[in-house]
Amino acid sequence: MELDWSIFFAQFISGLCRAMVLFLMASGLTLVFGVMRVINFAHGSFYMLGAYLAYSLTSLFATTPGSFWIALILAPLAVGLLGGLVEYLLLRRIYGKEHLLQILLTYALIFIFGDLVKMLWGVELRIVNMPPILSGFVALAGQEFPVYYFFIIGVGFAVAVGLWLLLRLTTLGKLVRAAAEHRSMVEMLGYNVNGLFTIVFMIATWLGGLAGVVIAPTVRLSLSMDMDIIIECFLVVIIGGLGNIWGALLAALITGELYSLGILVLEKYAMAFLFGLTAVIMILRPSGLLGRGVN
Amino acid sequence: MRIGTKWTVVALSSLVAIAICIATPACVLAEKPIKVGLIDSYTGGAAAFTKPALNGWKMVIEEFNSKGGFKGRKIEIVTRDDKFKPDEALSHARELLLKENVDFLAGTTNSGACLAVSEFAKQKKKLLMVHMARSERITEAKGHQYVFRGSPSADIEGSAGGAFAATTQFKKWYILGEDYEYGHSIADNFWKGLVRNQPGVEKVGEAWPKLQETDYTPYLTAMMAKKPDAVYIAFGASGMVTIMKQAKLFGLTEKVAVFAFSLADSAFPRALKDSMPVDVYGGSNYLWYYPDSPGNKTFVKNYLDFTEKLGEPDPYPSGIGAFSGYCCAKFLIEAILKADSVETEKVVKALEGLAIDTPIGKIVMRGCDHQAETPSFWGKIVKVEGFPFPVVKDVVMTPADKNMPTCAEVMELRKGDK
Repeated sequence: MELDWSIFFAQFISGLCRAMVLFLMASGLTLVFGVMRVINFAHGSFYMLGAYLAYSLTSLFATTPGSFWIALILAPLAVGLLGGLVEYLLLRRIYGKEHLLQILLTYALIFIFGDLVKMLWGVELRIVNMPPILSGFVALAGQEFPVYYFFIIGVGFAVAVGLWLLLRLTTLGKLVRAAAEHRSMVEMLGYNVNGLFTIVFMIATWLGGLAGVVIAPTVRLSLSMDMDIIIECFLVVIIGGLGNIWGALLAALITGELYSLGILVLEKYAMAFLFGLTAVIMILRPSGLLGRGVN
Repeated sequence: MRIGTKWTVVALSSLVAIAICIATPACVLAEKPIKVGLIDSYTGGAAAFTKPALNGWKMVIEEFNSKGGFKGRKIEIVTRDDKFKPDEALSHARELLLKENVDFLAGTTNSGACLAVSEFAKQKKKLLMVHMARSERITEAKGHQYVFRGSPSADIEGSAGGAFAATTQFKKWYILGEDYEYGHSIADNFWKGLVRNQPGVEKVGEAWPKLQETDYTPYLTAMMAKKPDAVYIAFGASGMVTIMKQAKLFGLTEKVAVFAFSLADSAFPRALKDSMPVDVYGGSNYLWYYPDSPGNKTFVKNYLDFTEKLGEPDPYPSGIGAFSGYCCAKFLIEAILKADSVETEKVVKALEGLAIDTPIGKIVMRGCDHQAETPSFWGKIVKVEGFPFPVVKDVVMTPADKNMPTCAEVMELRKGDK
């Protein structure tokens, strides 16, 4: 195939788009693991709830011009609050207990939320309409791209920058980083680590909800969407190094681009690249790209 | 007469009554319903199609029951959710047979699940009526005495689509399919049908994203790089909505001619709403507005009345769901009546070659391979004045027999598979 740069560029943009979707999901997963040492299998459920809430909110405000933006603000907030409740009522009871219990609990949450969504929204296909302002096209380097691609990419970068600022510049961020290093020390200094964990879990589930709303206009909503995306997100988290947000960003970019550009080379077997990459990284760096090894 | 004698009389007469009862099946069996165990995916993306299918079954069965059923026995449907997974479908089939003692098995939407249940039905010598799964292997290579399909197979739909596509004279084709049984099966048959009718077409590329993929963006950009004139989208019911949303977002329908079977089905424009693409080519096994005949109008009205009673009025019965369920229920009931029995072997015999009346005319269950000869309807989907959503304007109907392998070919396939 003749090398056409505009095609290469188009694949690059779509890869970036995919990477940002993965990052939005993976950042919440890895944040919870890094700080709380909990593998939250139910992260996909919060994502699904975000998408379904976006459906309800956009239907409720269907006549209001900015219905999507209302959903973009309110749905993740609602999901984050629910996350806070889950942490306060359930997760808090199992810190320090064996990991099996965590897996059991977060896995059970998948079923509970799955049935909840089924009860509230039913099994019919639900879709969220594209906000009119984002449904146009942008011409770039001889190719046309949907505006929504750039919206997704923009949200992804905004979240990355926002998380960086939060963790570097605020007291909360410093506490989060400190608690991740040495929980008992932070406790001894008189800080309320339990409250801190609630906030971290709320931020993570807010991110999951946000991912759900951002994806919602591009997919059908279904009861299996919680599981459809989660495996790739776990791969990203593992490649990046468990608990490392920048690792997740790097891994998301690599997997997104590898996948997208891989299609150009071997369109039939694009998925194989991702699993191949995971295998190679697990052999060369078992703790992930930016992971610090298991202690 | 003393009290003792009186009791003796009572006891004796009840004994006689019981004896008579045992001798006449009507008495004992009056209470016992004929059970159909329906295994399908009631959660996940497919649920939007399995519910209308269940409605189709129930509509026929309710009418049958209200007229007294079969010798006083009513038909009862027992449903199980396989969550679109073959292993779950199989364990439900086992449970339905052993615990629920169902008389017949029916289902599924997932072709893999269907093949698993079909193998089980073969071992247990129980009749399985397939109502949505499309893989041609179900009635061809893997077909057997006890499996029937009252809905179309992928080769009926695929080759009808290919034959129709040949009339549009596009030269360079790209195939984008979901990487599972149905996706490959319908794409292969489409391609065969196209090549047979239009020699000289060229396939410039193909790609197979995994099932339940969330983001097809990289596939769409890569596909356009191959500069096809037309693309065939070989997606299952649940993936179709996502790919069409993203195709619309990407502006695909303005850049290239898009063909997709089942897109003409009423389920899609209603699910997709504003995201429903127009000026695309689609087909279906049934259209609620075609043919514009009294029979079809009555069916649509009956279905609306029936679903209204359930609290979910549906004025546009879907082909994949409602119509397929309706046909399968009808095949089963008419076979029971013809056989004058619910014994599997007799019903199997009765089903072979059985013709049922449907809103789109007679449909025959082919005797040799147990595949219903269902027609296909194709055309360009456009906005038409007076319709609630985009519909096929100039419908091209292809009868099934043109698109089915011959009986001899099917038997050859079955032999080769052993």
